[in-house]
Amino acid sequence: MRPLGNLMNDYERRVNELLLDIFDKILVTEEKALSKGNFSDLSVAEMHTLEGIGLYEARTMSETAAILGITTGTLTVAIDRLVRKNYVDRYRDQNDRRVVRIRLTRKGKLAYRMHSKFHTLLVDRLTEPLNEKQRQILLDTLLSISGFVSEQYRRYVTHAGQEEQKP
Amino acid sequence: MTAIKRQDIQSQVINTIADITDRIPSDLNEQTNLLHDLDLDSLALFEIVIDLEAAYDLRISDEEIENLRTIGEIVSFIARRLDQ
Repeated sequence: MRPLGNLMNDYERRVNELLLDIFDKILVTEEKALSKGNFSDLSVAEMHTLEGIGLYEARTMSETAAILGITTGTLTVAIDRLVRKNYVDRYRDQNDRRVVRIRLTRKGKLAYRMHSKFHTLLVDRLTEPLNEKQRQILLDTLLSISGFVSEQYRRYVTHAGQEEQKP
Repeated sequence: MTAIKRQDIQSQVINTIADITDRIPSDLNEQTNLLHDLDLDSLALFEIVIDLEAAYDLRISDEEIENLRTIGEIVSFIARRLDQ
């Protein structure tokens, strides 16, 4: 049992434990699936960078950084590594040589599709026993949780940003 | 879609699959079932899809892949998409 659970009532404790347990297990399973699979040289973070680039797109660094919510400096480090591992191709735009674009290589697309299948299977297994009405309730509940968590996240990011500006 | 064009697609699909599964193209035909005859796993299937997407400048979704069981179905799918 998690120590914080001592201060909660039974319902709060169960919901809290389940949420954290699901969160932990999805992350760990994702990591294990990657490390034991065909793309064991990719971390989960690198896989999510591939997702940010997209299966068919040829994005600029700043576009991709914005999608991933990171700085272009952080992205550059990640892309350097992914280029070396042959998951990403980096090239200059034909129409504007000042613009650097990135896209997935064949190996990168393969990793993207395999990872996507992992998530599809996860959702399929989860929703398989549910009827239409239950699926809708699950979706509505998750949307509500996601909205609430995103709002909390935005508040903390804004707060952190304000703090950074303090002398 | 002309018969010749379908023949071209068939040839490309068979060569792609033969290449990835390490088989002789003449052993494959439109009736060849990807799962039962070739025992394809997800990785090999996605390799084929990615190569065919590149060859024909197509986008093929996971949902569409699920409905492609034979080489003939892949050929028909690509022919339909090129006609659109």
